[in-house]
Amino acid sequence: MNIIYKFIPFVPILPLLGAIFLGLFGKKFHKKFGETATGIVGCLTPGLAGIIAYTCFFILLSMPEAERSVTVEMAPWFGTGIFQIGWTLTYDVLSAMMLLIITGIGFLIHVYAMGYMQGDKSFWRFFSYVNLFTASMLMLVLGDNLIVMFLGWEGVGLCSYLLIGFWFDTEANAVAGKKAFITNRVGDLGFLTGIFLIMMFSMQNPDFLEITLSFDELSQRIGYLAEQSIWGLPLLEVVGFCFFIGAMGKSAQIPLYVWLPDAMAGPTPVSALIHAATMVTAGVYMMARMNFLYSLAPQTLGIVAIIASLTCIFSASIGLTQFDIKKVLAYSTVSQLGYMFVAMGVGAYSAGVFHLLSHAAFKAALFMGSGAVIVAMHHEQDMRKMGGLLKKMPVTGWSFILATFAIMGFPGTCGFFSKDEILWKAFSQGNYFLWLIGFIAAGMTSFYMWRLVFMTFFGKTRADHHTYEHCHEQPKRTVLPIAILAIASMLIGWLNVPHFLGGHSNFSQYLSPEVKDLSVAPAVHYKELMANKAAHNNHQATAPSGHAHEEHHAEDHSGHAAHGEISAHGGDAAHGENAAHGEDAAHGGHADHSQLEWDLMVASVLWTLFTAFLAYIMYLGKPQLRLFIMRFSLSRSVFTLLYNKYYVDELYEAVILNRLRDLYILMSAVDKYIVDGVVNLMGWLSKVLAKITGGFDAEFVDGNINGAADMIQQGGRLVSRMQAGKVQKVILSSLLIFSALVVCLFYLLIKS
Amino acid sequence: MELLTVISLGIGLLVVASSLVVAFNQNLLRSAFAMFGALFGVGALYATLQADFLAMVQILVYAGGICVLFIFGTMFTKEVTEDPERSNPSYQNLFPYIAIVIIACFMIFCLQDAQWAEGSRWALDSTVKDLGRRLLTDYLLPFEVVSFLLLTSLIGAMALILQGGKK
Amino acid sequence: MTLLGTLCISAILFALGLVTFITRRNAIAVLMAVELILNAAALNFAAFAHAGIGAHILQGQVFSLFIIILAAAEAVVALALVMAVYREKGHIYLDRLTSLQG
Repeated sequence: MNIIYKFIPFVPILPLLGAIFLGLFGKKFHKKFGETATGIVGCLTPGLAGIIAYTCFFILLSMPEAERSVTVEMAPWFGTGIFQIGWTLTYDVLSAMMLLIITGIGFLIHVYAMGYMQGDKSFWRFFSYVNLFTASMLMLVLGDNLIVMFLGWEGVGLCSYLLIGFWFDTEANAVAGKKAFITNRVGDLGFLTGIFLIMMFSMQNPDFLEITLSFDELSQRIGYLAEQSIWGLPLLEVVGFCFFIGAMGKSAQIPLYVWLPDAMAGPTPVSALIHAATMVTAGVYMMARMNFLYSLAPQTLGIVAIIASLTCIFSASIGLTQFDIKKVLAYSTVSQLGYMFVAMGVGAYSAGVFHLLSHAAFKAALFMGSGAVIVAMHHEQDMRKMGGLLKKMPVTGWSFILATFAIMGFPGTCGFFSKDEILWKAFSQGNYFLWLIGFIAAGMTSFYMWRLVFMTFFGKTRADHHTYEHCHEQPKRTVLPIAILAIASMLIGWLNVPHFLGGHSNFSQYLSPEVKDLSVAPAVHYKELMANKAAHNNHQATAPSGHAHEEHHAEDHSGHAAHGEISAHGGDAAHGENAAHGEDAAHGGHADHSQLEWDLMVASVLWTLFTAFLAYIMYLGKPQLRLFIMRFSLSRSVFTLLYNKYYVDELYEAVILNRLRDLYILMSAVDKYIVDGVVNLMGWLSKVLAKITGGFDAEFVDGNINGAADMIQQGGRLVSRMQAGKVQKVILSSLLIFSALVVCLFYLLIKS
Repeated sequence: MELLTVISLGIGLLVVASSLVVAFNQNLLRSAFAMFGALFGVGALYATLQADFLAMVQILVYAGGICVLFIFGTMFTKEVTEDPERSNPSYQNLFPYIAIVIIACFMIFCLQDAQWAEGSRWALDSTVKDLGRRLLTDYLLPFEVVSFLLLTSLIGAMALILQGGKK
Repeated sequence: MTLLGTLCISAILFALGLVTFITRRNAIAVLMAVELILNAAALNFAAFAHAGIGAHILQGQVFSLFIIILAAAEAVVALALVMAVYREKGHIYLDRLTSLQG
């Protein structure tokens, strides 16, 4: 406890120091001590942060479950009136897990980057950026209030921009960076709107003596916020949707996913770290963190689930046809993020977070593997020019294949446990549509991943002789992280073995203090909650409200995950009946459920194996079959549609960008003719005025009143010299205005 | 009338007179020397306000340092400062004087009306010890920042002069 | 002397500094004006400290001290700048230093 309290602030601070050091002195350091030393400095800070994070994690595990939350107040940040925003960190089960991912995988990717970025002329700059990214991501995860979280949120967006455009001397990279940044801005607007709405409604309640926007505080006040409404809609629905827009941008959901595939222009370690393992999961993390809010916003969750499932299948289908190895992985990432949001949308937050964890492991391994292949092939990314690389790069190849097993959901791997958990949650809530889409997308995933593997590592090589001969295994610091992550992706799944397979859902259990899953569909849950509340209010009408505070910890009799505890505290929530309902369902439906779960699991395993086999036939066994299929015009047009990514970029270009461009042209015209015109007119007018006064002076004024005329002339000159940019004149004019005001004041005083 | 009041009124008159010379004298060198009087007078006023350390610092830093710098600066740029047309107040434009008179009257008018929450006056032997303690406890951070600023400005001034010399 | 008297002196000092600042064309004279203005402010603080206004009895004096230090730093750098300008342009007339004007 004490150790956590002391050391947790160092977790984000260390990488920040590294970033500052490398950013300021990196160039000289690089020149003096060489590349390796720079790389070691770059790896050291996340490494140290990782050591702290892992130590603290085990300390946290040793604490009793109810106390697993440490809040560290580092310093006050700003405060106005009742707003008191602080640099406050919170270390609880959720952020502890995220820290493990960020520092653990982050460290491995740093090590990998030392090999990948070898010989780059701005090696130090890369490490500075990546360290800064790590620091902001840790800040995002550790932030105790929305503002600190938003700081990290913006920080990772900035670093993502810097790193996508890392090789900014190529036009396409700079454009991709800009695209990512601007798309994220759209999302951030949603996030900010959410924060402002919460602020606004918190301000309206005079009972709130202090507003810190911390998550703890929000969860306590959620009862009050749930009763508010805005624009005729319940407040929490609107706020939840606003935050989801932020998540859309950061986590690449429809319609804001377009930046992620383009982001592959950055160096591959960046793709692995930012665009697969950590940053893109920020949205998922945010929703899991605010699960108390989303549990009370069923409509929003419904929208989330629909958008997520569409994203999932949409991008998976695009992935089927891409030839760029990193593009396939990018669309795969979007699709997997879709899975996570499906889990969020059905209220199975812990399942989504678990998929986040497993996805981070296998996708980082896949990206790093593809990076190793790309470097070995002399920066060739087209899979059509690869093939047969397994012989040349055995360690990379086998790690890649292991990770592919994980992503397809082969029994025993982490993808199997996490993906099936999500699908089962969707199915068990009666959301057969979501389940079906997820199921089909799982098959597609398996197909395109095996297609990638077969095209890259198996068969005869299609690379030119020279490249193939020179292709070799990368240095150890590149290969080792891939292997470690591949093995990790084999093992992580066993953390969360579901009950019907004889496990205990340890992971969900571990997260339960912070992340409270819904046991039934969100809409049903909400309805029950409202009904209970109404009944409760009637029941307790005479009792003082202070006694109404009632908390129910659902016991885990039937072995199902804890449910029923809904974070609607605030003294008016009773969930006895709700929990009873959950237990009934658990008792009654246990046998059926496990049978059904088995069936679904077997079905999805068979289905993914089938599509993998299909990939084998089409790309390795009988390529003629593929050519045969492509002969039909229908399949050809489908292929073209998918290959061109449903023409979404073109659509955006036509619908949004061109309209914006028209707007800019209009604005510039307005600027040119109207604004400039007014300015010129004023200038002309003052000139005329000066001339008139001058003329007046010359024509009509006698020598007697020369002084006054002089003053008028001076005034005219003063007006015409307004824009001269001279400090003395500016101060003089402000003084003149001030003294004129004083005179007016005195005049009024005397008059009254 | 107390002796102290008489003395401080005299000093105040000295300050006002010297700053009048600073503001209106046609010869800039004379203005610079008058500056000495004004700054010294302010130092003396500090002394009457029981701020002995401040008075010392004022005389050392301002009268001894900055004022000499000004005199040197004026002398270095002698050929341009002696041009009365350019370096001196332009009496043709009356606006500044009117504005200043109005503002000064306004300030004094406001001061006469103001209600200050005056506390008890104290009788300290010397403020040096207490000031030193304050600077190294309550005001440690500003103190350090200011010392860094002084160092920076020292180096900056030298760099400016030396760079010009290279050309 | 009363608090009011000191404040009046400082107000006059301030006004004279301001008028010097506005009317002079010579950069060194303008610097002198800035010093006068800063002195007026510092004098105010010391007067307040003497009258017992402030969180503690020395608060005003500490402020004055910092003002003096900052003014010293400012004077050194500004004079160096003026010298550099003089070397570059051969004059230090503010109304003719317009090369940065758009």
